[in-house]
Amino acid sequence: MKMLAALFVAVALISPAFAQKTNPQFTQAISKLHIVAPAAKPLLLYTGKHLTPDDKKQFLAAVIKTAPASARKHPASPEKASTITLSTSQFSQGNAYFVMNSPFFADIAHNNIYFAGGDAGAINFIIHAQPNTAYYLAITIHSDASNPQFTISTIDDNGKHINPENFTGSTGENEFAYGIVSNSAGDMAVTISSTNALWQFYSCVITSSTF
Amino acid sequence: MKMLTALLVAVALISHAFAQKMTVPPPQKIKLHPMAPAAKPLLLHTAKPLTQNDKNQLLASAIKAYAAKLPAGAMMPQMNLAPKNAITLTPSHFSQDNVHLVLYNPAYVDIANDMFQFSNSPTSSLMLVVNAQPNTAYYFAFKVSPVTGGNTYTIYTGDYLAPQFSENFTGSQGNDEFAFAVVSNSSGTLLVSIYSADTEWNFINCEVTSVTF
Repeated sequence: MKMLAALFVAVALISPAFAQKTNPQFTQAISKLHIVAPAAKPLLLYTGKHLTPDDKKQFLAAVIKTAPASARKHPASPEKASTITLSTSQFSQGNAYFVMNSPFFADIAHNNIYFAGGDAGAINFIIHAQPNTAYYLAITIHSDASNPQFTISTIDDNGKHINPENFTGSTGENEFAYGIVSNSAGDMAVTISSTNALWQFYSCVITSSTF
Repeated sequence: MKMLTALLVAVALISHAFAQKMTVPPPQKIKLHPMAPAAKPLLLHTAKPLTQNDKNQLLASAIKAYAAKLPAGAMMPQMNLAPKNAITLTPSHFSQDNVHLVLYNPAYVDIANDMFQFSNSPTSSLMLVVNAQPNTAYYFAFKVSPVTGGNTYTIYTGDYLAPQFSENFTGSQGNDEFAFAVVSNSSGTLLVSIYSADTEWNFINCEVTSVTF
């Protein structure tokens, strides 16, 4: 009987976790892209403060170091880095755009995009990646909740979350960075959701640097 | 063993539903303050593409319905059906002039590729927010596209927290164009919302025409 009860609890706990990872429309959209896997495990940076230029410079260098040694022919030059910004009023720019799974509320004309915690709400950034390039996403979000929990991960061509990274944000505005290295041409998808908090998307600045 | 499996599935489904329900945040923060239409709105669905004549007649009917409510001796509206303003909203052109779109719990949003998809639920709805003018009739011609299951839609004024004047209609295969006419007799925010309880659906566009009288 105890085992049966434990089994029920396990099913109850696992079920919502699985449900968060499926959105048929997004899975269908992903299947039409040419998704490539990152060349190495992505890195997350969250300091609990706004990221400084020095934070960003060091983080970009750390991201590039994750690339396979054979791919690193020469060090990245900061002056070669290019930057684009996606926001509540800029849905696509250059080689990147974003789509949303089940936002709780979207008044796009007034820059209000909210996601609920605990359901399938997620924002997904799609980047048309180039080989031997590091991508650095500086993402700004807001939550009025205390201890909001966020998850960021890449997505494979079946819509599955790969290498999820979790962090606990603070009440108010949160800026964090996610770094990925690509060693081939194709699309990379990065997704963000919260397990427990209503949150608002502000912007995502994507910096790319070839190496 | 079958009963045990069924029980496990039931627990899984209930648990997921409960998890979603428990975490829907309070919407007070983003609540709008709509005004009521001056008369009961009118719905038109002919199962064919709507003609300009259909639109003119619907607007005339909406204004007549408003006039019928006026007290004896009140100045009757002068109908001039030359459209004052006509705009078309789409997922990628979600705001023009005095009208913009708001989405409650859509299933999927891809503005770059012109796509708003909604779930089959009253809480998954599209809302038009109109900065309405007095003595003005608004005509909304919607095009939608069902994705799954049925083809029944509900349209009403107000938001999903306080719906008014709900009207239902069933679309016809391959042609889900319909019109809704609302009269305003004061300045304020007019809300028109649409959902489907029986099909996932895509919003294609909405033509908004206003006529003063």
